[in-house]
Amino acid sequence: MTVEHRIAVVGFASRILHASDGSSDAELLAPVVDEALAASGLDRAGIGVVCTASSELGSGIVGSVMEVYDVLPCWPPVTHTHLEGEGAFALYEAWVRLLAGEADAALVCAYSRPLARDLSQVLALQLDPYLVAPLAPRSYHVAALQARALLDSGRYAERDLAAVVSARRTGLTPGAVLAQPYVAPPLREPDCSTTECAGAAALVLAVDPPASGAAGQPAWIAGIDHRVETSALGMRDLTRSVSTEAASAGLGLRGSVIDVLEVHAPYSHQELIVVDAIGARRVGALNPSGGVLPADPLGVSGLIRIGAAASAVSRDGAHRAVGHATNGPCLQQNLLCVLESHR
Amino acid sequence: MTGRCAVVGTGQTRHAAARGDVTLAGLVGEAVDRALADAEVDRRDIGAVVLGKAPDMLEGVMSPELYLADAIGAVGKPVHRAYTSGNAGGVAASVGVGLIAAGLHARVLVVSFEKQSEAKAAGSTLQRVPFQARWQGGTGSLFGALCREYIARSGAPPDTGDLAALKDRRNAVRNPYAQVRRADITLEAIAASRMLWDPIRYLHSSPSSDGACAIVLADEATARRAPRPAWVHGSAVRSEPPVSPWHDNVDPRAGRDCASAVYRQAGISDPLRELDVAELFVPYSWMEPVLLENLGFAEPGTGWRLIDREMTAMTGLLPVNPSGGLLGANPIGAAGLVRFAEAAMQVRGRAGDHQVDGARLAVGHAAGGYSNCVAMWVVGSERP
Repeated sequence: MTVEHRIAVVGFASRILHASDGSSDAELLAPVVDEALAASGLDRAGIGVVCTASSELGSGIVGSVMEVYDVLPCWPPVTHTHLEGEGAFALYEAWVRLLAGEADAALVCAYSRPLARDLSQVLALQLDPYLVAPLAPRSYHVAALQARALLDSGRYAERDLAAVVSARRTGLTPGAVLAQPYVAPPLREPDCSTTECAGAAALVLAVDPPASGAAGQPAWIAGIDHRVETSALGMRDLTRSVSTEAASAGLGLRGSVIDVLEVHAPYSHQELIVVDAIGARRVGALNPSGGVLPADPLGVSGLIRIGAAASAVSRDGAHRAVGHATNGPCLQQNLLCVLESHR
Repeated sequence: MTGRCAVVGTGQTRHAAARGDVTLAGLVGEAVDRALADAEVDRRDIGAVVLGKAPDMLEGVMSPELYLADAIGAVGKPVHRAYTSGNAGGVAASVGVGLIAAGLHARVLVVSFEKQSEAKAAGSTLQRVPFQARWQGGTGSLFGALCREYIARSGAPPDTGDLAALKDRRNAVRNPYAQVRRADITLEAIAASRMLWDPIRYLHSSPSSDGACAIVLADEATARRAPRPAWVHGSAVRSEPPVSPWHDNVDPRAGRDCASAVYRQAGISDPLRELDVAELFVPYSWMEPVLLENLGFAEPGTGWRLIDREMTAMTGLLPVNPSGGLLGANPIGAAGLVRFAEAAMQVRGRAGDHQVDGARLAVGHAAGGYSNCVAMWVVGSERP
């Protein structure tokens, strides 16, 4: 749904570590929070809503938020909530709370420090726990079903997947991609995002911020829409993303012009599906941040996409940018956030 | 809050130690169907769904809003996960209120569940706390220490926990959804039950439960047409750092601030006298006097006197937990939403055998973490 432009992204920062440096969640998050707040020009006392996200099954820590409170502006107590999952949904909640008039500014944080050596096993726990998860598919096995369906539809071929990979992973030609062995046909290792990384992101939202802040122009949130699809993979047309289509229609994006589009596609074929589902008439730049294939910190990637879209508006002169986030097997749940330079 | 919001339907499962007759989806669906029927709407009338749930690790289902999308009627709609801590159900309700207040939806379904029989709650909530040794004692050990500190500060007599437990357990007998309904319960049996975490005894403690709860929230225009809406007069969430020089487990500022925020929104200056019912998150009976003080019903050090004088009994000045509270059933992630729903049921006059006569204004409360995460709402029979 689109709304009156009263809320803007006024600060954003993110950080990705490809190798563990032994830091705790709090140590991972602290510099990112400081940087986002500094960019916003707001101090900690100005934050009335704090929404955080992490993936506890990914990190193996129950109640991980209890360990990061020292970093959050929560004293004196504020409206703070935490969710398990993708940080883009924490952004959604913060936006809703500001729309509802709960505060004038919000801080959104996501952090992830996977302890599991192989997240592809953990992600199977998103499937039906009685009938599907016990089969213990790896997440790329499930994604490969979707990729196969897409190729079988005739809309795309393996070389199209390789072209996506080549665009996102520097120094890799489509030919070099196609020369690699399958991990789950038709997916090859570079088709799958690199999840062996830690990440943190922080984003500051403000109601009616000044026209120009420390971070540049405010990136006004024109709307956020998200939808979920059935959990039964066999009941979905996996070659489409009907939840993205519905969200895009709800936001008036179909047939529109988007200057910058940041897509959260953990697999190469999913970028094609999501871009098609958004259905813009023209996209100026697709994934100028580089996308998530090279680094996909669980639960942080989507928030980074929205932050990157906001930065495109506030720093790089884009008039309209869209950030996308996904959650679940085969793009089951999708969120779109529209950011604009003018009120 | 910008737009007014009301509860137009509530539903609960039959809570039990193990609901082996249903899957997670079946359990959640039971509560959802009852809430929709109570609201006289169907799934097509719902604009968005909020799912509150304690840690995913309890049942080992990651982002359960994905698997449950069909069961909660969320397919094609926005579904939002709420968690934070043991206050998950209360936080979920507050997100729902926000979605209505922001004008985004006319009707929102809020759902919470826990299926402890498919979980290892005690083990999987053993958290690693910075700068503290691992206690390996489960949540009970945290509350035991907290209640000992309360006794040291207040001088509460030893039978306070017994009396509070007796009251909640007797109330639970009148609640058809409660899991533990012991009509023969006596003060002697409670006082003689096994000591678990001094001063907390076995019969002071909430059970392990399977259960779900759902509520339907509506905007003002929709609620005006609905059967006996419970209007939201105040809604707030507050959290504070659990480990800090300022954090007081017994009297956390998050609780005090959350209470004063909802009372201010509801125009309440004397909560003990102005509120008709309180449904409080009391996992161990000794927590009732602690909360009575923290949430502004009693001066510091005097909460136990309200219990001693039976002022929180069904016939007292402020009935606390007419449903039996968590001692009747504690499906962790749902327990907070059950408190919020029970508050609404009371002011809608739909609490059945545990109805407080003439209840017009009620408070629902949920808490979690190290008493550092609190959610509350005040609901009333009159439009604010």
